[in-house]
Amino acid sequence: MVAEHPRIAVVDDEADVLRAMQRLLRSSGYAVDVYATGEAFLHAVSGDCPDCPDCLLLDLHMPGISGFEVQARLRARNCKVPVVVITGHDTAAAEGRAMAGGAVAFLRKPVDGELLLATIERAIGAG
Amino acid sequence: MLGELSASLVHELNQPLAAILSNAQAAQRFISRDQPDLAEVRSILDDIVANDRRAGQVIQRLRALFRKDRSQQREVDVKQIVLEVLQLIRNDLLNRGIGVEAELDDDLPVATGDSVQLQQVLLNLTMNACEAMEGSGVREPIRARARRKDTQTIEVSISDSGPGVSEEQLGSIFLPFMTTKPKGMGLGLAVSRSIIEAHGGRLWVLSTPGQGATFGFDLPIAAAPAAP
Repeated sequence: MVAEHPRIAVVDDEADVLRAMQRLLRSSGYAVDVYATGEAFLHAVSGDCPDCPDCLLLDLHMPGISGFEVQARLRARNCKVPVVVITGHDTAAAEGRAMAGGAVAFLRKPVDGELLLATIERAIGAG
Repeated sequence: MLGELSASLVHELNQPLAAILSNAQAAQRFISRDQPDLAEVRSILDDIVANDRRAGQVIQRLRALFRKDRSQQREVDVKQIVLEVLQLIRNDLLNRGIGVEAELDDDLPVATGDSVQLQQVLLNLTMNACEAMEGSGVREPIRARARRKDTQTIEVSISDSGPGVSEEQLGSIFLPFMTTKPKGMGLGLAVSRSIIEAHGGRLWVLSTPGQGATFGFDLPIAAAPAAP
């Protein structure tokens, strides 16, 4: 069941990007949690799935563990949070790997806000 | 190098562009509300300006990297260049509590080159050494050396006792946008390499992780004037 204000988690090591995404999502009525590293996100949602956000926006290349590793650890927990990958590294190999890892979408920076919001809506609806 | 550069450039420009786009679209939404949140919009505009400037800096540094104007090539006294750079940063080093020991051959032959560009390279290598030392807590002085390496080459080097360069970093450290510094642009060494190579020389690094690093360059000795 999705809450009235769905909760979106954003993981990105770029503080400017993180702040801008938070604003965009808040302006659209979402509750937003932001994390600068994959470790911080995994720690915050280390409990059962009720702790999980309704959707996760995930960068791939970050200091510490990568977005791919975050995906792998969520899979190992059998966590079903829909993952939308947003990255500046747009190689076909990265896209293939992210999608094979269970991502519901792969978006390239700079991503248009309307496309992002539509993707999130679809991801939450399918979840 | 262009392929590596364009991939790095895409990434470096994507970050501020992504932030600008999301910020601008958020502002459009905030301002369309019945009661616009002007404080939020003002804060967004500040970030847009800052991110735009950041993108501009990437472009400016690229321009420097691919500068096409002719450099001033003439006979240069390498020892003098090293001394001038050390003098230039003397106060900065004092403030940081970092010492310098210079080992400069007295009878260095002259090289041919652009003294300002060579100073830029040395300044870059020395400041990198300082930053490496600062983070490490080691208080050994930086060593600046200039010597005649062989009959055709002068070797200039800057050694530090910082954490060194890992084997993985060694392979890519001279590439544009490669940096180990939290706030570094990763262009200093790339620009330095292009300057030294334009002088017919070679920029190099030797490092054992945990035991510091030596960055240096080889410069060809100026050809002797033809006999009358």
